[in-house]
Amino acid sequence: MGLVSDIMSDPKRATGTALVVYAAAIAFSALALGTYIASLVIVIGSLFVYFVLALSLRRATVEAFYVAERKIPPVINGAATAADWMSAASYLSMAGTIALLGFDALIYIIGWTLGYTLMSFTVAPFIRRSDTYTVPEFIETRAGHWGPARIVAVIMLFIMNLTYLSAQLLGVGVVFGRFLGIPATIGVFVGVLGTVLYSWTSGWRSITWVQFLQYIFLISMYWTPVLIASYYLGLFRPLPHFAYGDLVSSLEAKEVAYGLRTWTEPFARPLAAGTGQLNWIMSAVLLMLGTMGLPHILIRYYTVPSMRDARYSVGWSLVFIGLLYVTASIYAAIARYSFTQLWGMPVKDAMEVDWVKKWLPTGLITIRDANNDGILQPAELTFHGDIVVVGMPDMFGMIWIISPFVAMGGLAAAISTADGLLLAMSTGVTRDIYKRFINPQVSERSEVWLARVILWIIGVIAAILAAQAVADPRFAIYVALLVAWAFVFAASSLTPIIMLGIFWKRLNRYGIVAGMIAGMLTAFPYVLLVGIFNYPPIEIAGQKIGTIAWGIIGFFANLITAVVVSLLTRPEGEEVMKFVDKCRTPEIK
Amino acid sequence: MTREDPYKWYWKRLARATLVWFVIWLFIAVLIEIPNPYVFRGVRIGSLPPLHWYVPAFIVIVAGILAIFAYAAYMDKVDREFMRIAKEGER
Repeated sequence: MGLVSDIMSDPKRATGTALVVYAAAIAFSALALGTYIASLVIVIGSLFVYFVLALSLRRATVEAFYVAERKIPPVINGAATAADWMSAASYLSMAGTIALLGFDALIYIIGWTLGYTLMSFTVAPFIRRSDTYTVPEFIETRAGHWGPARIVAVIMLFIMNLTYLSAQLLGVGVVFGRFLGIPATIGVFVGVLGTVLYSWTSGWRSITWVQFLQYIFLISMYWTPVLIASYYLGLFRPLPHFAYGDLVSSLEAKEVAYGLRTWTEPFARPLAAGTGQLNWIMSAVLLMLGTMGLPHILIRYYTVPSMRDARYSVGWSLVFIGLLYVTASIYAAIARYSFTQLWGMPVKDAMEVDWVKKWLPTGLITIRDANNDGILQPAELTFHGDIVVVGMPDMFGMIWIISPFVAMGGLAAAISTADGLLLAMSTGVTRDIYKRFINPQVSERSEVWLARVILWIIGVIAAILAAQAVADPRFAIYVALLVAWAFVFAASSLTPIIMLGIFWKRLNRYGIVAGMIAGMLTAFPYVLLVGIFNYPPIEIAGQKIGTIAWGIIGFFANLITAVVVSLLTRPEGEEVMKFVDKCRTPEIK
Repeated sequence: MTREDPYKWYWKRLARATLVWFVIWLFIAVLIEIPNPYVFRGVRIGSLPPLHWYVPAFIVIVAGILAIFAYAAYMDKVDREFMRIAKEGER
């Protein structure tokens, strides 16, 4: 027991020991128990490593649970933010979306990265300097400690995070289901168990370091197959990023030969029910504005020591996020190349290709000889975006061990985002509602324990929603759409208020609440009617404005309402002015 | 020099920096994307893919990262100057 205690009291030693045990278990299972069991060990064993690291960091203080004691170095926080940010959607689906949408998917690459640049000089350092613990607490303080502002902010937080979390758990279920041959519903609950188990130990303190480790796992596993495939295709000149032009040109030539619209053609496909460049640009900007209003991302900048560290940490976040995003288009091109190799083959032969044979039963790729000519035409081969990353090791006949490691990276991406969302919500309940409105005298110990219990409760609720999504494909579609809409809701509710709160002193409590409600009332009905009930979208200059792009209208509705209402009502007092000054300036040491 | 002066001084520089970096962000995140699909479509340099393709994403992400670190470095300088002025004001 003494040895175990010694090891567990030192996080570096504990993690090292866990990694050695993990590697030994993989080696043993691969040699003695076969590839299936070894794959299980690779994927599920990673949860053991995260748990050991989290346990070695356990702490039962509010400061540790909510803001990781504000001691996380900027680089570590940057990597943790990247893991928090890059969900199953980024890891599993981003490259697939590019493979399907071609040029038009560029909005996701730009929209989900350049928001960090804007955040670095408009939001992150200032909320860190506020010394608050949560985004709703920041908003309430800015509203002169007016409770309704905090309640509205918590409601907005829950709308965004619960839908986002359900989709992450759906991703976990899909990873488990496809790779390990277990029902996805069980996978969802295993995912919740894994996530809550280590978040439980000491909240943001433990998950920050676990997310750092998860980032290392996920980025290594993301790059490995694409680098090997690039090597097969001779794209190392010096990196595939600078050498896949000929591959793209060959794909274009093949598409032209078959009389298809080329993959590289801009604005060729509808985007979230919208069309044209205006919709495209508005959608990209909306994703950037939404990034700045997501509480589980903003809270990451509470965990660094100072506002200076927050500025640098945003830079590191984008460095680490960029490493994945700039690689996604290469994945897409290589996967598309593999698909086009099947075009023109006899259907029977195409179905006998090793990787096709393996993936046909999963439904991620389908072959149907529609015209009965026995030859595979482009339209007779369809694929799901998720096969691009998870299927790549098989497309190039890589050694079996790569596949489960890719799945382990996908699991790391999904649960690293899930735990950030879970913690942001549990904090919303305990600190923003329970401690603020129900029991302000609660002891620190009781508050942390309540946060732990709430973690489990929210985890189970999200798992039930995700299990529902697994069982009903229509529900799954709505969940996937709602993830994109989380950005719309964030940009329409929190982003303008946080920015105005820092840069415009005249903003007052009534403006804050009216702005958030007006933004949400502008965004939500449009998303509901156009996105779910298929009403025709509004047209501007002949271009249809999709549900994502509409968030820009929600953003400005919030902004204008907040300004007008603030100007029509009395300004906040001296205390709020001092708070704004504090947020804007560094601490004098 | 009154006690409020350092704060006013800092706010002026912060507001100006925010405006400058906002223009930089607007350029790399929005304006550059408008002509890109038309001007650079089909244009290739060496073994790079067509320039309208995912090359701009690569460039703007790198530019976005550089902009963040440049802002952080600039604000470091402003922060140090603010500390100096504030401490002098206290004396």
